[in-house]
Amino acid sequence: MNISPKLVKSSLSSHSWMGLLVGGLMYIICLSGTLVVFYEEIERWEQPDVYESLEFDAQKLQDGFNAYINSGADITDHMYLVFPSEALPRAKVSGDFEGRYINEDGSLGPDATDDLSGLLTGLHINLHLPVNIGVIVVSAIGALLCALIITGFLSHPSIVKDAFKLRAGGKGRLGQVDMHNRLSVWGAPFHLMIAMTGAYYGLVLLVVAMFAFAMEGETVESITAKAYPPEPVLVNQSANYQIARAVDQVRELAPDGKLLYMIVHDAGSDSRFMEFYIQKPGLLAWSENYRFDTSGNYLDTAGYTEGPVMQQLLYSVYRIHFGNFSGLITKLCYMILGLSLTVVSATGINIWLEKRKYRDALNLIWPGVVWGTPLALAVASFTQVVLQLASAPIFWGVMVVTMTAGIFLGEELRYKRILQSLTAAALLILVMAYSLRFGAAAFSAAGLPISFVLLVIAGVLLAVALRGFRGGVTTGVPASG
Amino acid sequence: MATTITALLISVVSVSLIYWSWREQGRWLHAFAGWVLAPVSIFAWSAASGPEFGVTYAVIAFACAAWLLAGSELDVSAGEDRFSVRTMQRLSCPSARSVLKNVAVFVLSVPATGLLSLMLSVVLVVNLPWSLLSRIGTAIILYPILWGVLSAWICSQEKLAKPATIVGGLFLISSLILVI
Repeated sequence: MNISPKLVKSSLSSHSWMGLLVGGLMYIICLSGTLVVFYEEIERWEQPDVYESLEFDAQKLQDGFNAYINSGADITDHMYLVFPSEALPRAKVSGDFEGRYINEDGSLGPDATDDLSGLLTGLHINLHLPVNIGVIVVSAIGALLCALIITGFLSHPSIVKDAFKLRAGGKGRLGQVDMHNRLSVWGAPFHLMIAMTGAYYGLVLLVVAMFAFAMEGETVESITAKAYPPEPVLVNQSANYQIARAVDQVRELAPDGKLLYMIVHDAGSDSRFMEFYIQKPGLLAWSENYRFDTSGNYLDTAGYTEGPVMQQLLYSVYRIHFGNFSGLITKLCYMILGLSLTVVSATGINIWLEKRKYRDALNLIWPGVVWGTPLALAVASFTQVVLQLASAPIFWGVMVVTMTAGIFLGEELRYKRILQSLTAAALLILVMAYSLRFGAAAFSAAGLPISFVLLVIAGVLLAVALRGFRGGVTTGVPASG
Repeated sequence: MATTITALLISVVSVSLIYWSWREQGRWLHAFAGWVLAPVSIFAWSAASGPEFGVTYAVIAFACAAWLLAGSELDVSAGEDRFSVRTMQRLSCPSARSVLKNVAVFVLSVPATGLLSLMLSVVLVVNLPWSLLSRIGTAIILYPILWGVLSAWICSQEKLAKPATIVGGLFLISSLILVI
């Protein structure tokens, strides 16, 4: 492949500059995104002692929903009834901020918590910054990932010659370079898809605002209204919801559809109505929506799965980005591909650090980011799930400690092994404390799979760390992260 | 099921042909056939799972097959085994000139280009004879690509006068089009 040396040089310089600018944040976003693929399983794990069943009696869910509405709970503008699914086989009723699970007999179960999955999604979507700012920052990083992919190709003159070369085993940067290039080159179509769909969330409102500015007589609200079908105009709607009657009709309207959830719109007013979100087989669009009045009379269908191609593409972005389709196999593929982008982010900075003729504090800070993030996630999971503490500040506090502690240790390889050992220990403690807290429920289908995976990760990290300790530690050896 | 297996086979054969041509240097026909089969696999996956899932599956299968073949080339003895003991230095304070240049590159390539790409992506589609949603959707797809391409170009420039002038010029032109 003939790329002019000048273009290679300038692309490499551009690739390095942008990689250094966003590498750390991109690593955190990619790692949390890889975990967020399993957010439903994580939500299930963090509260294993809840009644579970894939089958449900719509009348019982109706009883539970109405009981919650009449229980004095905070009625927000939107109220939700989440139906059981394969990933989360439990029914939940909630407002915007709190909710309860529904028992088999339709009575209200324990308070529903999704704090850990919320912590992870918050980290991935907005880096725990105020949402409006964080979403734009993360989306900008998505756009810069597009730039990194382009410059990565242009700065790689031996892309064909090295297409499948994978050298490892030494302690130099060759192994890092090969790993970085092989994962990024072959994963590029997927990575580009993730970058573009990831950028969508923060940029869509900006694009709509710019359209409103450019088009006479339009506002953000008027354009947004055109993207969604008009809401039904109702009056005198009772707050006693005839959900079972509506579910029967939904099953006739979409016999192959999967019931996701039902939202009551304008729940605090007498113009309230019910909207059922149904996922249709073979379509990536998030859902088709069926509207009913509160007596269970069918009003209309939103038509999200029948509009023009572009409309359907926009409604598909979420599922394309998070691999939320076709069950566990797709999720596992997304985990592997997401992890590859995480490794690419880490090895990119490793290569830059090792290319330098000297070491400085950056060599000691970077392992604190790469290996500090899993440790911070393990500690925050413990404080959130076991101690029920709000754990976003704990996550960032641990990150600050891990990023600074390496400077005092002065030896990056040893520090990396220490962080791996600490993460393994934190995961072991997390699983033990979790088992003690939830007792038999910790060994149920809701608790055991994730606990088992955490133990496997802990075992692997411990083995890698011990192997590293036995292999000896030499000051100044490259391979920072 | 048969169509899924066929699609998977096409993906695997596509990557295998590219791999074969790489191993046996000079077999360009294999590489050509492999690269032709790669887009064909998208149609095969679409036939198996519908066009929406099909494209995603084709992308995933291609990447995973390529990584498996790269993994088969793993050479643990070929790693560069150099123990270059590098001295530890104090974190050097960059010169004011260097800080200024990097701040300028950042401002130009991230927020300024972000705003410019937003305007350009809307300017390019706002007057097309499509439905509003199609125009917005196209602009949303264009936006990160334009931002990425422009940022990459700006960061690759040694001197900032040229990109600053071009960004400024494009900003003015797109502002005029948007306002008018």
